Amino acid sequence: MDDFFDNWTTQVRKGLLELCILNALSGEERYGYDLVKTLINVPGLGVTEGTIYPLLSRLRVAGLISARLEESSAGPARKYYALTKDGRKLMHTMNTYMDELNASVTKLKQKGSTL
Amino acid sequence: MIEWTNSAQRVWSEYTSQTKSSLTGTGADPQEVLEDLKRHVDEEISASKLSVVTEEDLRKILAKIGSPELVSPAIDQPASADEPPQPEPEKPPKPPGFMLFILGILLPAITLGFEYSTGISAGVLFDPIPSWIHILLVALVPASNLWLGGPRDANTQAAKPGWAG
Repeated sequence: MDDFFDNWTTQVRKGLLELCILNALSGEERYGYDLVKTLINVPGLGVTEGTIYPLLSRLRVAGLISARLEESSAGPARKYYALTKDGRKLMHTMNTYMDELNASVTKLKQKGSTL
Repeated sequence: MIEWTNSAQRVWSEYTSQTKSSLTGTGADPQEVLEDLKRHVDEEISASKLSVVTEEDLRKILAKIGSPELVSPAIDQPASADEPPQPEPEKPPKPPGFMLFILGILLPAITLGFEYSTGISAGVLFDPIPSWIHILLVALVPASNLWLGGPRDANTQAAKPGWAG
């Protein structure tokens, strides 16, 4: 039972991580360290800091986010991430899909098999 | 200026080489990820106000960072790429073709029949089938090949030569 739940949550988290990153960048640009610290503190997301960087790189390679380096007086150079136009568009599509899916699941939960 | 001990540098070098190989082909840029991780480690060191980074310090930071493996399939990969690879079905042995049939059965049988009916070799060189025993022995060649490649029951199917299908 616990194993089944663990496997299920792993699958759910896998699909949600990229959306979480896009949503975290929906406001203003954020620098990597800060973004990573925010994401690892999302309850239930269960990611480690090292997991997020490959996803950020992949989103950047896919043209969904942009990155720029800025020197910092407080420490090492900071890498700032921001959503691109395509990334913002995809984020809206993904959020709409999630909302619809969530609404359907909730309705199913309330009414049994009748949607 | 923050100093790294030799053992800390060695640990970092091992970590980067492992990370680089694990990220190859995932859709992420391994070099970029390594630079990001280095910046992250530098931030942690800076936050801890360390002036000398020892192996132990670095191991603690790396344990906190965790393995930088990708947790979801690449964007341009189909969803099934996340599933464990299925073992390839065992291919049936490739049939050697009809050469075995031609050279092992047809040609010896025709040669035997031709020599028996015409006696051409016996007239020019020597008689290769002077008696019925000789005919039987030579006929064993196509016969044994025919027997080996002939129809079998399901249990012995694997032992059948390829030409028999």
